[in-house]
Amino acid sequence: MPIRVMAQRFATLLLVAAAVGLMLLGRADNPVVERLRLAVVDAATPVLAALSEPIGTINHAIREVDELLFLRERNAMLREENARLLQWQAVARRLEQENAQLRALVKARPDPLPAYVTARVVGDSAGPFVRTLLLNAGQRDGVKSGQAAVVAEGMVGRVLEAGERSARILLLSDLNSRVPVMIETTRQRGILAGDNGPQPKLVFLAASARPQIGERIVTSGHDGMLPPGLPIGTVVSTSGDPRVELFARAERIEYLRLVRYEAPRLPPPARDGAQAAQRR
Amino acid sequence: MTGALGRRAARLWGQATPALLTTLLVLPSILPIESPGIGEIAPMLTVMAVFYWSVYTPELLPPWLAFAVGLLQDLVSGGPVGMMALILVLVATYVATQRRIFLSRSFVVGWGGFALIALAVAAGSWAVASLYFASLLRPAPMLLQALITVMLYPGLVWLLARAQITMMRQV
Repeated sequence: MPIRVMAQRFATLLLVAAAVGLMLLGRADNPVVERLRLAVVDAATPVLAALSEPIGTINHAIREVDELLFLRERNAMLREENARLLQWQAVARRLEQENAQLRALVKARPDPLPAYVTARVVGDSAGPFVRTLLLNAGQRDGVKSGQAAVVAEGMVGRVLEAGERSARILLLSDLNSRVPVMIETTRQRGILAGDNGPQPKLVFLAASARPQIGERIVTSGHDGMLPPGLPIGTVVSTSGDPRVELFARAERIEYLRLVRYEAPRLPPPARDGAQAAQRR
Repeated sequence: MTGALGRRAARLWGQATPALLTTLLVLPSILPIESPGIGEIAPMLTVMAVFYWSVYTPELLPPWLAFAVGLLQDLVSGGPVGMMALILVLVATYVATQRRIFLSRSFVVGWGGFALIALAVAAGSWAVASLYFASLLRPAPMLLQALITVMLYPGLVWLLARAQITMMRQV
């Protein structure tokens, strides 16, 4: 009898040691742990995709009721917004033409236009530790880690890891999220750092930068994976580290687009350059 | 012959129920369910299930199965791999040794006991995650999570008890 008890205790100790060992390995970004995670998520994605379909319908119904309740007010608000946007449209058209003329004048090289992959959100990790979304698109659809995930309102996060047919998005609010950004008007750069709270903060701003409440924050495109100018949010507080209210609300997203953006690069070294030239 | 085989299959099915149900409870924490008000906080359903089965049928949910469920949850949720595995092993082991206390007393005592364990899990996971990410996380979401879990306890226990009654008919 005591032997059995001892064996059980030993087994428990082994399991605890295994769990702690796994955490240490994961912390050190061990490739085995990463591959295991990708494999499990790849296998689970079809199941999650099937299950999230009816949930999407339920969420829709809830939203529908919510919208019916506030139909009148929303209508008035939208009409006002529409009028304002029409004015902006006129301004944008004029600027677009002017911009094109100026570009032609100075022979500016335009940035490459990004391509998009649209994917459905099949899961979100609702833990208090991480802010991620699971998508039903992966490497076979052209998803790569580092790509930006956007919705109509703005940027949501970026691809953390991409499996064969699934990908995980690290939301901007996650503790580990760091995105190079700039203040839209002043073009001063900084880093948007998440802390698992609803409003990420701006860090590493230039000492002279004084972000004002209400100023728009956009991506700066300085890491080569994100196109510059993706809208992110507005500054809402400036005491201590400035906080940013995000345009996109992550909990209501069903579909999002991944930006396949290749930043212009310097030509590769001579040897590879010859090969690249041949390919062309 | 077929009768005996059928009975054996039913028995196996019954014996696998705790493990299957606990695994199934990994799903709600991952699916994109919109929960107005509470936002990103999901209840710790697997902790509840491990608690329940460790009180009533610990032999059908041994620590290694709890470990496996926790590991699955870690891998799919994208959190620190091994954290939920550690927590569920500890809960299963601890509750199995103390099950007499929960078995003999009333439902309210069980609820209270679970509340203590949920609090311990919240505190433990906060400490582990803070160490893992090497930064002091805000403890409020974890406490809120524990609170929601404790509030859902009667409902889930009722469901699990129904499953257990069905299961016992087969075993």
